[in-house]
Amino acid sequence: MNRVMMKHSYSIANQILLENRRYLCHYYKMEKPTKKERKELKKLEWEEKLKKEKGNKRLKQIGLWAGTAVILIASVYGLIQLVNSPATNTDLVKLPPITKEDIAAGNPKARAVLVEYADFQCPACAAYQFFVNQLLIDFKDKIYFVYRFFPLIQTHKNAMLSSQAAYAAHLQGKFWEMDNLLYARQKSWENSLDAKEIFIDYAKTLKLDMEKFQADLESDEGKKIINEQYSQGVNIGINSTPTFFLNGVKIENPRNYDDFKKLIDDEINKK
Amino acid sequence: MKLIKNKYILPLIAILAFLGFLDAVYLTILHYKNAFPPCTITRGCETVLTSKFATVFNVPIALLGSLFYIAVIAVCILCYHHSKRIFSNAIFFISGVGVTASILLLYIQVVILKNICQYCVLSEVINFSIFFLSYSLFKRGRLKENKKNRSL
Repeated sequence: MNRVMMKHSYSIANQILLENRRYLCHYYKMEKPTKKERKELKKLEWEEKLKKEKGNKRLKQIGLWAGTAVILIASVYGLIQLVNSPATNTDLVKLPPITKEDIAAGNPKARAVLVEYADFQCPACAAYQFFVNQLLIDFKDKIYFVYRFFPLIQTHKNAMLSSQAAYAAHLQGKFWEMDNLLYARQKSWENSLDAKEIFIDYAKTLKLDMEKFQADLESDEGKKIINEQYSQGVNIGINSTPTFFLNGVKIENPRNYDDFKKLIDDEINKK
Repeated sequence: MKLIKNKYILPLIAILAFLGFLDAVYLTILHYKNAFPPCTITRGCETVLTSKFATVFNVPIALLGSLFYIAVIAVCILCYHHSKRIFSNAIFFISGVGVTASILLLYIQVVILKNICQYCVLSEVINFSIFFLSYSLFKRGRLKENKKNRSL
């Protein structure tokens, strides 16, 4: 450290001396500095310039790295905001109308009509099912809830079969009972290779007509209806489950039950 | 005849890598949100992005893609500052890995899944472009080196 400092102060002192000499020569019109001195002065000037350039280059390097990091982080943040923004395609496309064929609960003439696109194998749907059940209890005839199938079959291997089981139960008027069982015991069948047997056991628990249940479970009709609802969902831009529509407008999934309740309350009081 | 001047190749690679980074990060965010993007040009984005091929050991390919593009951008900056041959070779090597993965993913989409995802295709086009640009950088570097050796 000392050596560096000494070298540095030596070079500064040398430069001052040479500068003084040059000035004095000029002032008193003395003889010009010798060739050696001129050479040394030039060398010093060049060294100084090089040092300055090196410093600038380093600053430029740091600036470029920092700038790039800032741009990358800002773009990630921007994309997260974009993905989380409520303005999605689903706001612009009309929700398929509710028909008599839809699986629904509550009062059809209610002021608040809640439609859910869900997948029985989706853990978030299981969490929201608890909220929906509570909403149906709290709002009674002030709400009409419609369930639509949206099985994510590419990631959830038993999504289609569970939907078929629920549809088969629906044909015997016990959709909601099967819905409760499927969500409550989701962990026990989601990765099972024997999910069909498990669903048959659920049907037995619900005291369904087993022959009819098994026939409906294997029939193509249920699969066709489920696929139709799925395609309709994709067409209106649904890309995740659960997706809720309140009176035809897509809503952001509320973070907790109180938020959900407030949303329905506001909708009822709006009119 | 050179189609692109030497000084434009590195910034072009960096810009392409940045676009690829945006695409890959978008898909990564959607993956962790359990969602998929709207398919406006092609059909079957949800099939491709939710297939078992979309992850490797539970890590989404989109995340690996994001890291790949960060690596390309970083090596571009190193190459710009130090203009050493090792860095231009590194870009060529990294983009070679990227283009191999792209060919594999394109094959999976067309042959196995029979569905095309526009976001994946965009990333693959970017990878091919980066590869050709880095090849040109690599080739010019070699030519320069050969000339230098000959003059010595």
